[in-house]
Amino acid sequence: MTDVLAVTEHRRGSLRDVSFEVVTAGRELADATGGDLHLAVISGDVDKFAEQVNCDGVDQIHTVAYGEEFNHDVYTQAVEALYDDLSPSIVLMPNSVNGLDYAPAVANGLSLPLVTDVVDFEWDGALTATREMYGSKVETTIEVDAERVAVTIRGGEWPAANGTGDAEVTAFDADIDEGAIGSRVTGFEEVGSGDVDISDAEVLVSVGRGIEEEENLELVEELADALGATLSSSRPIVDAGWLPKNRQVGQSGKVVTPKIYLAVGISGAVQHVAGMKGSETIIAINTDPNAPIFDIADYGIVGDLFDVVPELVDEFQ
Amino acid sequence: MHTVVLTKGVPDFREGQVSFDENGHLERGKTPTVMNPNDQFALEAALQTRVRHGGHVTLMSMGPPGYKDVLREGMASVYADDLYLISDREMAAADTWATSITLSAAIEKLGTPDLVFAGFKTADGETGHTGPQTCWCLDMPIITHVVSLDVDEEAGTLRAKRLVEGDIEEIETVEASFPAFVVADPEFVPSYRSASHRLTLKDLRAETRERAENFEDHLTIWDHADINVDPDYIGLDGSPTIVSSVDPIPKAPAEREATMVSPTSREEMTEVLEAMQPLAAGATGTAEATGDD
Ligand SMILES: Cc1cc2nc3c(=O)[nH]c(=O)nc-3n(C[C@H](O)[C@H](O)[C@@H](O)COP(=O)(O)OP(=O)(O)OC[C@H]3O[C@@H](n4cnc5c(N)ncnc54)[C@H](O)[C@@H]3O)c2cc1C
Ligand SMILES: Cc1cc2nc3c(=O)[nH]c(=O)nc-3n(C[C@H](O)[C@H](O)[C@H](O)COP(=O)(O)OP(=O)(O)OC[C@H]3O[C@@H](n4cnc5c(N)ncnc54)[C@H](O)[C@@H]3O)c2cc1C
Repeated sequence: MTDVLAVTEHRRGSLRDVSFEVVTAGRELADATGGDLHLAVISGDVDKFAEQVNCDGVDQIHTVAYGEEFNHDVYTQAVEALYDDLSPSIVLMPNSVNGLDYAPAVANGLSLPLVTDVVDFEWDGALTATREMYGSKVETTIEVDAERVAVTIRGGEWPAANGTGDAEVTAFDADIDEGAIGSRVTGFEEVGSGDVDISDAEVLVSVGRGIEEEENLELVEELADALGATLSSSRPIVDAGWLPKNRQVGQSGKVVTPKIYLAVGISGAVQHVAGMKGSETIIAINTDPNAPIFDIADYGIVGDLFDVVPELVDEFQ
Repeated sequence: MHTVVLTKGVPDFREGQVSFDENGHLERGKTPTVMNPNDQFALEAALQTRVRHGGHVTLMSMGPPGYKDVLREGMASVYADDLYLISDREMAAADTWATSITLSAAIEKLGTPDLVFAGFKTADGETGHTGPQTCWCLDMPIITHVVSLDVDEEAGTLRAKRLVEGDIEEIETVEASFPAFVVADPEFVPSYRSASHRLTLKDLRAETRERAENFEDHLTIWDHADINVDPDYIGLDGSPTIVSSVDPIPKAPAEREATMVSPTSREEMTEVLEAMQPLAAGATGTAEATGDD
């Protein structure tokens, strides 16, 4: 009655990291509910995936062999069929692009309340979940007024499960209704894999909204040249289209660990810091002495980047 | 082609606009309401189909009476032929489940449109499920994270490119038949290849800007009785998820002790320069190009 069903995710023939994170989160919940942890592996090479995700803490694995890649209707039907069969209290899905595509349909189809992008939870006969809102400025507590619930968890919040488990793997016949499949993937391309991998760079000059205008990027490009460094940025610069996505450092960008990270006009929001706090030496230039970036910097230059950067260029040219 | 675009009003989170009290609660009275920024991409996608295939764009929102300004903003800033506000005290404190029931009932009352567009996430609730849940109620195929769109009116199909995250960025092409539901990704880019499309776009924008000045002439307000939904299923009564508290995010503890440097002090700057020097020098041998994209 109080089991947990967690759904794994894969792309292009590999399980995604979040598959192992739903195992950890699922085990945590199953321990709290006193139930079993069931894993669903849907589409693709299900036998290979089931073997790989058979970690410590998993009680049962159910495979649904249908199609190669993610499809909205296949996932929705498969999860609903498993739910009907197992009757879990909690359905746990990743808060990924694909997770957010099918989780709402699953929740509606099963008449379950849905809480997405969860970073923490507690179980006390019903679920209480924590999620961030308002651009991660506040943390909200969501109380679920129901005995069963659907949840998507944020990637990177739970550690990946490991170890070799001995869960029983069963093929599950989800009886997928071909006629109810409303969309089809007809093509695939890789984009923005890009010229440069910022996660390999030894020295990064990273630019933020303090740069104000696209034309001003020249200034930091010059500094990067002078230092033999690679240029990276915070998200707003990428959102504005001033630099390509593969230059973005942070939670929804890349994690970097260069020897030197020079943050120019970056405030140091948690999502940015998540991507660069492992850098060896962090130097920040910011006009605001209270900018949070200084809390993780080794050197904080409190000043106007339009003065400081040209000086540094002169120094290193 | 009839398209319906869903939009929500959100507090204006731009720097300097948003006001939180000392407990981290948003001061709604002091924070102006604007159209959810992500919904602009949904509107752009609808405008693209309007330009290429003609027809009609309806902009719809569920919310308090003040949301009519959100609809006006959408009309003025992107495009809309007509506006619908679904507003009723019974709908207050709706969660996404109740919201999706209400929105789908209103859409169905309009007749089944060819395409429905929603934004990816709002800037306040940020759940990202209202669109997909509304789609579920309408029983349409869904394509999420759409970055570009082509419609084949004769065949009654659409082909969309969908951005999926990965170690590298990947794009899937997905096809579906009308009526269909599209969630626009913030990376959505409309495309107007022919000169006649660009001309139509220009004309339509000018026309809608003018229309927005008297937007109330194009606005219809419906309550729960108009769309024939049971008050027990909407609003707080129909909402199984309840927000019980909103707290400021604890600031991450300072992880390093920064040496604070004033750029006007030569002495202090020298220390920073020294920290950078060996690497900068050492790096020149293996310098990577600082890509000119
Ligand atoms: C602090 C807080 C936390 C919340 N947490 C939850 C929760 O965990 N679970 C839950 O079920 N509800 C939750 N809600 C309620 C939820 O915000 C609203 O009920 C819902 O109307 C919109 O959800 P959203 O803002 O997350 O929109 P999203 O789902 O992020 O919006 C996606 C898109 O749907 C469309 N859309 C959304 N709302 C409307 C609308 N009213 N009218 C027209 N189009 C719309 C827009 O195109 C929008 O871009 C929460 C609300 C608050 C204030
Ligand atoms: C789900 C989610 C995921 C996210 N993922 C990421 C991510 O991966 N990466 C990321 O970076 N962000 C991410 N963000 C956004 C993040 O919350 C911040 O909004 C963003 O990092 C801010 O970028 P910024 O520091 O460049 O801009 P701002 O916060 O605007 O900071 C600009 C800074 O420049 C300073 N400044 C201004 N003028 C000057 C000057 N002349 N000289 C020197 N300093 C100056 C200011 O004092 C300020 O500190 C994410 C947000 C969300 C909600």
